[in-house]
Amino acid sequence: MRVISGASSHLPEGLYPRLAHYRYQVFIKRLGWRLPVQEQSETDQFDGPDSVYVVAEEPNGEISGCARLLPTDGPYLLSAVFPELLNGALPPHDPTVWELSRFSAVNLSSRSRSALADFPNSAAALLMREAMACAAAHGARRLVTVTVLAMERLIRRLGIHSHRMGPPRIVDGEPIYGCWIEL
Amino acid sequence: MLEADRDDGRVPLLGIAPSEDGYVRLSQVRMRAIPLVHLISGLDTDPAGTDAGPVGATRAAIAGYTEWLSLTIPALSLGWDWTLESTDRELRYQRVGEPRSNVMLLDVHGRDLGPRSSAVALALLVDDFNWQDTVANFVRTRYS
Repeated sequence: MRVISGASSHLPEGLYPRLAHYRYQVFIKRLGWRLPVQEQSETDQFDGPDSVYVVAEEPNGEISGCARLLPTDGPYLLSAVFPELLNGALPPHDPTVWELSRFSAVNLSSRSRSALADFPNSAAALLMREAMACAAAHGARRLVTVTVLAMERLIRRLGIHSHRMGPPRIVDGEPIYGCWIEL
Repeated sequence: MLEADRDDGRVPLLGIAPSEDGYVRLSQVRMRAIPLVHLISGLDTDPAGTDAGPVGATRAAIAGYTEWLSLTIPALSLGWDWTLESTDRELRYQRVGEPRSNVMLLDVHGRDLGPRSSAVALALLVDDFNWQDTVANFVRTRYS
């Protein structure tokens, strides 16, 4: 597995459309998230020139993981869509605080249903470390993220200093959380 | 220690607000005085991702999570994993790992206990109240 990162304009030619299709396969088809879709591609209003992408690619060229990083001094998911997860605090607006979103370490060709099966050397663990390093390289000192239980557990088991912002919101019967991650 | 009623049923914790780093800071004494109410519990669909996963030699047959919160402003949030253990012909819900939370407990001097010690203290708090019956009833209803 190799990891490629950069803004959409700096990714290798053809990778961004494949990333959008991978996100469609994971978040729409597999996880059933109700998100905007265009021609089997998943992108939203936060996919812009300031977004930095971290993409895991297998030797055969298949995408097997992704993450999106956004500075919080522009629009971002937590403040715009899930402000109630902030537990009454003001949303961060700080170039050293970045948001991690659209994290996936699902290899669509793998028969394993669990992205965490061989933790701590799992693709999920490696991708999380790469995403954190990428954010730090762009000046981030902390991350915020809207996350699910499996991710909250992954972050905990990686030994990363993180904590939730407040109680979860229940979406489709499952809790989602706002979390702080210290880099 | 709850101070005043509000129309939405949540009460402000006087003198306490989320810190800039996102933690809600309070003493252990005050934390223990605040009731926690059940929000949701569920079974794990991905037991490999739990603290009861394949790290050890055994894996629980049934595992899950539970979420509790305070009806306060700011809200306190505690969630932890559990397994259903069989002991002496009795099934018992057992906490696994330390709670995940937005709480940073303070020592008697008002200093942070630190993430690790705070989590350990919160785990002891969890073990001191009967959450098992609530979780058992909820899980039974949810998955029946």
